[in-house]
Amino acid sequence: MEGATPLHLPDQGKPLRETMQMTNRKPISSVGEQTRFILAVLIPTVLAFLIIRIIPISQTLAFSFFRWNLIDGVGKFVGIKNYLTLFRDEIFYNAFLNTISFTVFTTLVSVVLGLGFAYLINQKIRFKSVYETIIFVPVVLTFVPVCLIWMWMFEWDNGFINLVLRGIGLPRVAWLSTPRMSLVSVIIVSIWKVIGYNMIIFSVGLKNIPAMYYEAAMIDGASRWTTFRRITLPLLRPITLFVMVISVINNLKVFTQVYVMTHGAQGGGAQVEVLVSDIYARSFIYFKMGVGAAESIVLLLVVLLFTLIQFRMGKER
Amino acid sequence: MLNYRLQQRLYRILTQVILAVSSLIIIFPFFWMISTSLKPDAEILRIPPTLIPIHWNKGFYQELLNDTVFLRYFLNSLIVASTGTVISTCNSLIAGFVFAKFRFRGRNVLFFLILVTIMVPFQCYMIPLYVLAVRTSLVDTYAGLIFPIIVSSFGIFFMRQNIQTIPDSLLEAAKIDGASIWGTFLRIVTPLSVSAIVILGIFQFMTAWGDFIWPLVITNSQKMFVLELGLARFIGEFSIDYGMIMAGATLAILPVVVVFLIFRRYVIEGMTLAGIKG
Repeated sequence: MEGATPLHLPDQGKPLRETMQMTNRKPISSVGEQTRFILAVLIPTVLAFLIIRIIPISQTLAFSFFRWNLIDGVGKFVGIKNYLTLFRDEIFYNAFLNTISFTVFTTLVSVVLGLGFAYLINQKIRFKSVYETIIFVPVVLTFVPVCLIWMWMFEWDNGFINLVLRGIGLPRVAWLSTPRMSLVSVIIVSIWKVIGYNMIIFSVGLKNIPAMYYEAAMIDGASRWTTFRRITLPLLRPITLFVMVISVINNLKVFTQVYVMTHGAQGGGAQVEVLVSDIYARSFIYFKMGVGAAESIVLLLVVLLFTLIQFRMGKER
Repeated sequence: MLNYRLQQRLYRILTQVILAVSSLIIIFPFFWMISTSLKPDAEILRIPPTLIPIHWNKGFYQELLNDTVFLRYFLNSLIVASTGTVISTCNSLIAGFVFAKFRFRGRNVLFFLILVTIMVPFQCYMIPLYVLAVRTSLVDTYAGLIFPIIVSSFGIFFMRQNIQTIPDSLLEAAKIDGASIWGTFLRIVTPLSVSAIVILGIFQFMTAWGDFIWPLVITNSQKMFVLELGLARFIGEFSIDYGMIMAGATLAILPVVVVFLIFRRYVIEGMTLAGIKG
């Protein structure tokens, strides 16, 4: 409150300025009022950003070089020891590799399918908005109920997918029983959830392609496939890159689906570690926050790399 | 020529078939969820399964709706998501106005400082946030759940972009008519930003509603769990009682789907914003 007092001082000058305005001068905005408004808005905003964003981000970076746990607080400066601990740990490698494979597969498949659906939906066809709505529904849902549904679909004895496989005489699949298959299952769910999102972004790109290109191609007698490959795809290149980078950044942060589907009570041998789940475990289960912070910085660097790529693409466009 | 037309028709039919089949596959898990939640236990485990329940069973829903803990999860999610959304959207609107329409020293530096935090994933600074919450005893409280989302750099950026499109002459005119800055903000800027506010609000609400890792970190008593967290615990609680689990999932999903179907355009636009956000 003390800090707020000086802000009211310019108030006293107000009557004077109002007099000036009445004497037929050009209306000047009351500088005092404006300053007060700006300060009243910015002081809380900037304070909030300092406390819940900027300081914590700096702390993560700084304390990744310290011994740090919840009970003793920040301890001795240990240089890059936390990072070395990480790089010598097999769990970290495993988490890193899982994050990369998750990201690569989820991104590639969801981008291809998203593009495919966008292309089909942008034809002159009936029930367009019905299809669009259905394909988009998974996007608006949250991950936990979605994971629950799919865990039931993937269930070994009574899961629908295994029932179908059995019904057509194929062997059942142990979807959530090994780390590898768990990762595959998580990828399937993640793709299913994000296709609609990619589809909408691609739709915007497709609508921006001028019709005359297609007319020209038709007059030249180009087949649909040729038109798609020679006209649609090249013109969609920037938006494709955009969608890819967005997906990569989002997928690198994967956590909820992995945690719910593989870390639960029935997880056990099928538990999958990714970067964020490893950060979570190190920091909040084992309370080795220094190492957790170091791993957060690793994640941040990977994400920043792709953000930079995105920025450079933005400039090219 | 006839050949060409035939080809066109075949192509159109093929497109319809592909889209119809894909839509069915995509929507099937929902159908299966609802169907399972309405079957008695014995029928859930029947092989071959029944697509539509033979014996209807409302038991799981009755049990959940009578369960005060489950309703508490719902209420907690509602409190956290709506409080966070209202605060951060209001803040974004007014800060966006300041950054869009006022010149002052340090404006660009401040704006850059706020914007730069967009790039840092939440998971990269949640550890210090948690320590902060422990020190201020916000662990396991609503305030603890809400405080990380009361400001949004993306929100400020988005609102600034929108308010910049409001012509200066309009604000000048208000000034000449004797409106104060607050008056201009409330009577000119806010009404002209309604659709941006709705879009941002939907986006913030959905992000907050679906948040998982922060509630997981910050709450430890069951009565403070948000819906996502409570549902995730279902697997441990009911182990293989999939009827109950599917009923819970249905109750969690239903309101979201209804809101989506009503505000389809806004929701799609709000959700795709995340793309610009990156």
